Parts: sequence; C-alpha cells; structure tokens
Amino acid sequence: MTFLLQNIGVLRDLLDLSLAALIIARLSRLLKEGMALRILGVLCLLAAGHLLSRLFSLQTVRLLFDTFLASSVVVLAVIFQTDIRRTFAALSRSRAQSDVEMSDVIDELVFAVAGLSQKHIGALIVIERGISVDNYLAVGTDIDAKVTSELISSIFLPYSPIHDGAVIIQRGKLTKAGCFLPLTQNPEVSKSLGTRHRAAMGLSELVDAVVVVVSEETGTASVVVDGKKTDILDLPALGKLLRRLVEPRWLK
Amino acid sequence: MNRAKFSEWSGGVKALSLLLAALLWLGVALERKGELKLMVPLRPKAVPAGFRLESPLPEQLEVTVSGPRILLCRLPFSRLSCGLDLDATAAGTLSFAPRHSSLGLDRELSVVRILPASMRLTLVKETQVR
Repeated sequence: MTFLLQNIGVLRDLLDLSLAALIIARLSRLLKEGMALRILGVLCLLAAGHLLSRLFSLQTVRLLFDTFLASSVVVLAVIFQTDIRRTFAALSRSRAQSDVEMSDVIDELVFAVAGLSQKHIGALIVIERGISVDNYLAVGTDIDAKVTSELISSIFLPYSPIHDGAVIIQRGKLTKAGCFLPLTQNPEVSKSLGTRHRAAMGLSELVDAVVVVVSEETGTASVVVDGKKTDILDLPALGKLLRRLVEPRWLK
Repeated sequence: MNRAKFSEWSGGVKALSLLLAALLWLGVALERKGELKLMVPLRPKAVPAGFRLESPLPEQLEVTVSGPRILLCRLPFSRLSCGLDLDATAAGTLSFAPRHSSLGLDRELSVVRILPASMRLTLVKETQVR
C-alpha cells in the first residue's frame, strides 16, 4: 500500500500512457489496413516534430507543426467521414437487432445448404471473418446482394454459369460468386476428397474464414476452419456451429 | 491480407499507436512546470580602463530556474553565464545584485532565486594598487 502511495505519480502516468495507446489503437481500427499505418506514421512524425521544435525553441517550425497537429483531427474526420458514420450507425444499432440480422444470414445459409444437400448439388460457401479473403480469390463475379437461400441455391444449380466456384459472404452480404480458391498443398489430406473440399481447406489454411462445403457425391455438408473439416450430421447442428464460429461483428 | 500480413499489420498499428501515445504523453508531461538548479559562471565585463576589481567575486552563481520541463532539460547543455556590466562605474565599493535578464533565458523561463542575491565589490584604480 505504501509502495502504491509512493509511486502514485508513476502509476498515473503509466495508466495515462496505456489508455492513450489503447484509444489510438482502437480508433485506427476504424481505418483501412495500410491507411491506418500511414496515418499513424504521419501523426508520429508531427508529434515528434512538435517536441523537437519545442525543445530547440524553433518558434516558426513549432507553429507549423502545431497547426498541422491541431487541424489533423478535422482533416481526418472529413476524409474518413464515411467510415466514422458507418461506425456510429453500427454502434447505435442495438445488439438485439444485430443478433437478428446474424440469425437471418445463418438461417438463410442453413436453408440453402439443406436444399442443396438434399438434391446432391455441390456448393462452396466462404464466410469472411477478421482477415480479408480478397487477395486469394481468382476470377469471380461481383454480386453484392442480400444473403437469401433462393439466391445461393440458384447460383449452385448445375446450369448456372457461375455454379463452378465459391460464393463469398463478406460483412453479411453475398459479394461474389464463381470464385476459384487456392487448393490445399497439405499431403496428408485424404485422396478421396474432391477439388471443392481441397479448395475449402486451401483457403482456410491461409485466412480465418469459415467455409461450408456440400459434397456433390454424398450430399454431406461440412464446415472447414483452419484447414480442418467437420462433417455436419444434421442441419440444426450446422446453424449452431456457424453461430459459434461467426460473430455478429463479421456480418456487419 | 493473409494471417502473417494481418498480424504484421496489427503489430505495426499497435507499435505506432504506442509510439504516438508516448509522444503525446511526452508532449504533455514535458509541458508541466518544474524547477532546475544551475551553477552559472559570473563574468565581469566592461571594466573601465585603469581600474581593477580588488575584492574577489564568486566564480559561480547558484541560479534556480522555473518553467516548462522541455525547456529546462536543454539548460544544462546551453552555455549560460551571468554578465556583470561594470561600465560607467567609478572607483569605490558598490553593492551589486545580479539581474535576471542578464542570464539570457528563454522568455517562458523565470528565475526563482539567485544565490548570492547580492554582492559587494570594490573597484580601485590600478595606480592606487601600485
């Protein structure tokens, strides 16, 4: 206790520093990948410039740095107004509402998988989580539509021109179809598995996406995560597993 | 972005966030007021021709300076000196208090105290000594 009281100043400074770092890190998550690094780098340079100009009493340079630093908040708010608006809109939405939306997407997926499985129609559905899958998608058709069981089923119907590939679900929307995925290079994968399963494993080894596969031969549905395949015995189990694997924030 | 790139990016953002927070915190912490004690050499100047100082002057003054810490931390490296202007003085004993402005400090810094606060010096004609 005495130690705490003696070092209260140091502890307060540490808390101050940690909270500031946490706030900055959380705010930078609102921005897109490389952009966050660049902006943080520029802000670091401005702050370092301010400190150095203050230390060496360079009044004019300090005025410039202070002006840039002070206006950076407004400039960033103007540049990233869309991202900020989207974040506030997501915050203001109630958790119950987002749970309902998540439930909608997963229910539609389960319905589609049930239909496809029953008809022995092969399907490959990728649900993006924290890491973007964009860099691993070859070809494909942009769609950007609401996830519905009818849409998914019609994409995988054998006479559909985009049935031979994967459907991508990003932030709760069906964004692409007919995408080719990288195949797994793992030699331990059973030779009985077809290209669809190998593609599901290949992608899930590279990113944290959840991939749902319906086998054309057996009609069995499987979920592939981290390169591991889990066969689904009944459809309620698929819904339950997807709700466990996919957090609502990845469907927003 | 694959996993390796994501963790690299995430690590980069965390490191830069910490660096920016540290720089901002330094900016705030170094603006806090502090005090610094310095030993400043005393240099008599403009001694009138034909005169010399008879009484010995202290070589250094103990100066306590107050102000933003960022400006204080530069002071030990700057060559501060206290000039004692003896121009237009006549022979005899005179009392002298070092002026704060004679230290040439930054405008944001203020002198809290100077020790000794005043000193007596005797100026004599060189012929008188001989």
